[in-house]
Amino acid sequence: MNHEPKHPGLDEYIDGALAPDEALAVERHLADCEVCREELAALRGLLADAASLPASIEPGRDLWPEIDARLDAEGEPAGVGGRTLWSMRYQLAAAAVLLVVVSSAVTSVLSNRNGPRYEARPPGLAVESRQGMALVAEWQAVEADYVLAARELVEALEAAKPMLSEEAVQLIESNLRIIDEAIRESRAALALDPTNGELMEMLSATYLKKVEMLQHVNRVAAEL
Amino acid sequence: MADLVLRAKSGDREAFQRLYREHAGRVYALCLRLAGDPARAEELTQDTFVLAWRKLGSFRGDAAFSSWLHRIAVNAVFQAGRSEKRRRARIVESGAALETPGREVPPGLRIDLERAIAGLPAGARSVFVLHDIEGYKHVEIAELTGLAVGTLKAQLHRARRLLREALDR
Repeated sequence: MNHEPKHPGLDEYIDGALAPDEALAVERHLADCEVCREELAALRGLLADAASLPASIEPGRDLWPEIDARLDAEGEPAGVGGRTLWSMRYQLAAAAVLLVVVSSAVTSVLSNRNGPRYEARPPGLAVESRQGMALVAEWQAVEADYVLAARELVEALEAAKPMLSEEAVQLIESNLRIIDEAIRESRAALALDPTNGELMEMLSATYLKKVEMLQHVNRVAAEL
Repeated sequence: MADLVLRAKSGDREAFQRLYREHAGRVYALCLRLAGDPARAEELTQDTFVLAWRKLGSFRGDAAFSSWLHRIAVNAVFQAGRSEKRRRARIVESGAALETPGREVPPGLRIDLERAIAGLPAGARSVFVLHDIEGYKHVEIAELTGLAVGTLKAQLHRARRLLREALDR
């Protein structure tokens, strides 16, 4: 053991963080080293002073009025209706059920079409045809469900943001922007070719990705 | 679970105000020592209670309310510190050290321990306050800060050395 006055081993010794044999070695050294004994005494004095600091210091002014005003802006308090953890979980479960329904509906819509599943446009399936109009209407209903599920989950995410780190929020928002851009492009393509099954599946997969990501994030936030 | 906490959980603002009155001093002391600045500590104390209100639904009563509240305060301080670092990183183009320097303490001036703690660099101050005043273990501080235990031990050693120098011991 060296005789440097700021011996790091003394910190661990005084904290009780050394193994018994290491502590014994320090004690043997202390018995022979006045510098380290003085160092240890000074450290003990510092820690005793730190321990005697007041646990409570009243703020220079009453902070409650500002807190109270901020709680007004918060809306409903945690644990009472609104965006509680319970409601987030409920919402998550509801969205999961909705997601299953929507996914089944997509499969149903696409498998009910005439022609091969991945055929860009089944022969004769014009938008203005009865079958074409039925397909578009069914797709629009499915898309509305996806949009609803995503909207509910985005609302839950907004409520959960304060529980997440700023890095996590930035990452989520960045990913959402990418997914939303993909959705926008797919919708634009589908608008030009409204009975295109491939585009419907692509758009469906992107919506699904968005809903699943939001579900995951909300699940993590609800467990914090 | 204490009656006041249960009432606050059910949305009773008056009960929450009483919890504030009961705990504000300890929360403010913690924020003051961690932030090293009274005005900042007031903001962080407010943030802590607003966050606590938001999160009351998740308080199950496994730990004491004060411990739960302190954990929120510590998180609020570190979260604010990280945001401040990022803000400064956007302003400062160079890769200069981003650690917040502590307030300068004039040499030779008789200072007490509180002022000496406030004068520590931010990293060393945080570890000293949490470990030596609040009684957190290194592993707990590592979880809160994301720093390695070895780094925290070095920071604590540095803090104690700087404090002893400042207090001329």
